[in-house]
Amino acid sequence: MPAELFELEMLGDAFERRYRKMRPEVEAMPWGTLDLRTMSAASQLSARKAWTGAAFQEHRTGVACAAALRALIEARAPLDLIALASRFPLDEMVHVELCARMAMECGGGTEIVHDPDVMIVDGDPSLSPLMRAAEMIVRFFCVGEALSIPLIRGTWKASRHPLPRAILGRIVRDEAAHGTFGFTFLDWAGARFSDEDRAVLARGADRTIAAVHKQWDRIRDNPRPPPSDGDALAWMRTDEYLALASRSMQRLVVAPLLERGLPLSAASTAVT
Amino acid sequence: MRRYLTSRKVLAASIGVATITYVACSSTDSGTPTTSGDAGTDGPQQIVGNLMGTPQDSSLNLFEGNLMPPPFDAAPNDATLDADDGAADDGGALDAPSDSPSDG
Repeated sequence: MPAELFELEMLGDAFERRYRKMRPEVEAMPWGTLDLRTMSAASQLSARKAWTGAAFQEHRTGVACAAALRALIEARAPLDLIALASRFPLDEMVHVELCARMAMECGGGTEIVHDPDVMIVDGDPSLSPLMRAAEMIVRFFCVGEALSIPLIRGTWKASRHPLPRAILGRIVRDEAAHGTFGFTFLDWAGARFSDEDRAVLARGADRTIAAVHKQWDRIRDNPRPPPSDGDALAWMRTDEYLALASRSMQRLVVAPLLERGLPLSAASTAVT
Repeated sequence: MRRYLTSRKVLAASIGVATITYVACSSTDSGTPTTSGDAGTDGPQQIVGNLMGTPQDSSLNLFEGNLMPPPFDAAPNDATLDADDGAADDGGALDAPSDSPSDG
């Protein structure tokens, strides 16, 4: 698949009206209140890049939620659990729109070129439907979403301008349900797993946690730039972010997975 | 003749601005300076870069999918985490949590 530019569209008219009715909070946000004159050109560009990147990440998460949802249906998971998960792709599309519009408010999207065929690590087709679902849910929800909640919440607390505050607040509210979903699934499916199954799931978690640690290393190695002057750029400071991330990994990811019998590696359980 | 529906853009990219490429299981960044251009301003690239692991490596890393990490120390706001040890921040909901604000 050739690389494609990450841009997004809306169909409008009746389709948009129905969508707005489903998620009225989007239009209720204080759009148009960002005063770019208070920001340096460099800060503005950083904001555009950060929010465009956030839109892309949410877009990828939408793919992941849809993949997990398909696997849940194939596995004939409990209908109410599937129904709950069916809301997640919509949540992610809302987050995509929020981040994209925020980028546009900051002056426009930046250029992201991507391969739509390689957005996520998909489920392993050699696994049973239940294990295929479980393996993805462990990676996407028990690690990814569970860890993202406190970090987005911390970013929300750091934000000052009403618009990014509203956006981040919306995202963290939605993600709260995503973060607990994975462990709810494991609490149902766990009785069906063998020791070998748990080892497979633990390996998936280990790989994802290792990737998180690698990202932290990159962040840690970055020199700390001076504070920004831009209202639109109210992010957590790096050191606070890393401290919160490490605590959250232990409390919200590692401990709950160990409680459910996943034999995580020493590297995953180490406090970094 | 049937008319086609037309859409409008909600995200339009500025070509050549802070380019990031995610293809062929790797990522590259144009390195377009996002602030003053010194090394200390590389935060955003580092945050969103390198998403694509190898096919053998699930560090393709959905975990990053939903994070909104700090692009850099942008907030001159040391009250970021308030005065507590952060424990209350770990996964808690907002002050006015709403589990299903959008149903319907």
